[in-house]
Amino acid sequence: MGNIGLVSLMSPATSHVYIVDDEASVCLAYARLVRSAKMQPHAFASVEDFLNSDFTVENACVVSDIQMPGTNGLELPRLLKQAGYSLPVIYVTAHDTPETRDCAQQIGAAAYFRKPVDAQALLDAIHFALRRRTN
Amino acid sequence: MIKASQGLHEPQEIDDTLRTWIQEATELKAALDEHAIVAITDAQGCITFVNDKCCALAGYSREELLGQNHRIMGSGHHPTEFFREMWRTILRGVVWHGDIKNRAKDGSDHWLGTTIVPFLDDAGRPRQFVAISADITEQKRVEARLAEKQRLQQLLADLSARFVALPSEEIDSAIEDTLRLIAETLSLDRCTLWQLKAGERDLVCTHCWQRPEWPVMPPHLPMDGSIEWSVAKVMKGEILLFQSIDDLPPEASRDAALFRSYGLKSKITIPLLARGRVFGALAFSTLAGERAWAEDEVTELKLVTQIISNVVGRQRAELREDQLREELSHAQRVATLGELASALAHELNQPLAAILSNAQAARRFIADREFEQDELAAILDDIARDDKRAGAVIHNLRAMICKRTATREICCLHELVHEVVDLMRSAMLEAGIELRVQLAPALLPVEAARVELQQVLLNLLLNATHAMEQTPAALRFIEVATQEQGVAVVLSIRDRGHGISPERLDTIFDPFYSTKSSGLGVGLSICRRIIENHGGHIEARNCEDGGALFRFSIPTASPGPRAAA
Repeated sequence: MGNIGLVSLMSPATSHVYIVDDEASVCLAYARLVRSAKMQPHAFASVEDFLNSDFTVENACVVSDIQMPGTNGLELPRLLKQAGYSLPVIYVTAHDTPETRDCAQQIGAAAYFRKPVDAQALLDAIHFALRRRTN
Repeated sequence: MIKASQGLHEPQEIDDTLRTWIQEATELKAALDEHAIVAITDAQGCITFVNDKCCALAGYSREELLGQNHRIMGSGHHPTEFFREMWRTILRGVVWHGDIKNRAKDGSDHWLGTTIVPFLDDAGRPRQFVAISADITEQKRVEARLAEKQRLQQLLADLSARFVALPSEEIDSAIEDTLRLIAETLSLDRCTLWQLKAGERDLVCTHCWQRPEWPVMPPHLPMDGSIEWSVAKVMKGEILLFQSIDDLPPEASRDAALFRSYGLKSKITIPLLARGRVFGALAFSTLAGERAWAEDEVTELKLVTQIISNVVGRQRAELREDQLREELSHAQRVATLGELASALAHELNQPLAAILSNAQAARRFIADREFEQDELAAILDDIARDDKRAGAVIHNLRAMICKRTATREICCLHELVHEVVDLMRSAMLEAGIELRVQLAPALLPVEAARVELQQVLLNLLLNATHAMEQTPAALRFIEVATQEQGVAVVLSIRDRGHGISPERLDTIFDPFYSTKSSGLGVGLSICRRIIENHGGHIEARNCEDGGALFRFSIPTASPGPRAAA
């Protein structure tokens, strides 16, 4: 990761972005974007993979797909809450329907985007979610 | 005569006898002249005597004929052998009988039923030939007409028999052959079948036979109105008929001019009708000379037209049916794709999302001057790959939605399964269905229209998906399997849905049967048509432990390399 890794390690308050998407190429692209903003990306192919990982809730947020094999992305806030965690979740989906949008809003999503999402919009949403949390 | 031979020498008796003989001969000759055509030639065939009837029929004066060779009246109709045989007979001193076609001075031909009596000199050499003939022109004409009529009736009988159950691919050549037979039977020079093209108003020549010496007709009638009168007449369902172009009415003067420019002499055009509507016409023409159309000939030609009309009508109906099937199949493809819209959006949005994020990440790395060349190269490679992926999705989409006739190629069923499964994956995901694909280790290739087989797969998978809407989550899986069975490859799709109600098992592949509330209900009928067009078979049954199983088999292409799963 070179310089980027160094920068993130050097930063006292490293931000962690957990990317959950079954599409490997999408995961990788988001990870690069997150790194370009000097944050630490972590990629997962499913909700289960993420929940079973050693994630932190400090200075962190989730960027998740919705339609995935296994658990649906919209289940994530409930499952996190069940496990006693609180993490902001940003949705980025290829299936943008009014129903999913409403559902995401109801379950308290930090943001909701349709794929393909603009880098600045996504990064702004990530920063906003992290700041709100810190505050 | 008897008395003379008995040696009676009284001068008075001889005188009386001679007088009687001369009188009898004169009377006989007068009677003969009244009845027959008489000509006498010398041993060389030069005319020495002709009676009035002979002169009248041949159209020559006596002076013009006397001293001429008898060939002056010949028509050129008979082969050389005909006259050689005649000469051989009469030179032997034997009487000859035969029918001779002669030509008059004005060029018209006539037939003579002729008896030639040779008279020999004392040495047995021919001295002169007396030809006694009757004019049998009318009799010959009637005979020819009868023979022609018989041939035409035979032809009609043959035609009716021939066109029954004729495979559609042979219809065109059979029609052309028929046109030729009609032309030959009726001594015509050109027979043409004109048809109205679908949705158009002009007649197009679809079949034509003509004697090779004549110029070829243009395939389209001129649209400048120069044949309006004739076309309008035929399109009204009337017969256009003329022996001579001069017979056409004044209002058809432009038609007449055009016909003259085509070299037409006589013509009969009979409309082709289907359910009271004119959809074409059969045109019969002479170019070499004018021809009268006898009433019974017109009747026979109408019958021919009727037969061809039925055949062509059948052909057109089949064509329409094909077009309709094509339309339906297209509509169904579009409907299928409608159902797949969200899946397609997903398929396109995924690579687009990756491309955008990759490009913008790279842009940010460069702006911060914090990048490694390898990282940028990897980003660009990924962008290129995702772009190609999106392109492939669009390409497949186009191929599936396009209204073109699919071409067949040698391909492996597995490739098709992979392509369709890729396309369906997200739709399945959305429906919470797991796709379990079990492909045979290796499969012989098939010769198939990829798009069509993909459509079958798509239809069957979509049906399976719809059938499982009420299925408990744990059982929501579709099994797709392939295997080789003898000379066929078999693909089966098994779902865990509501199955097929027993009374509908037999009709499930019939058109317009559908248990779905949405959809055109033609999906399975199109599947069956496609599979059967590929020489295969499709079947459906219920499984004992629930759900339906659809299976189709397609014969393998000629031996080739096996494709791995």
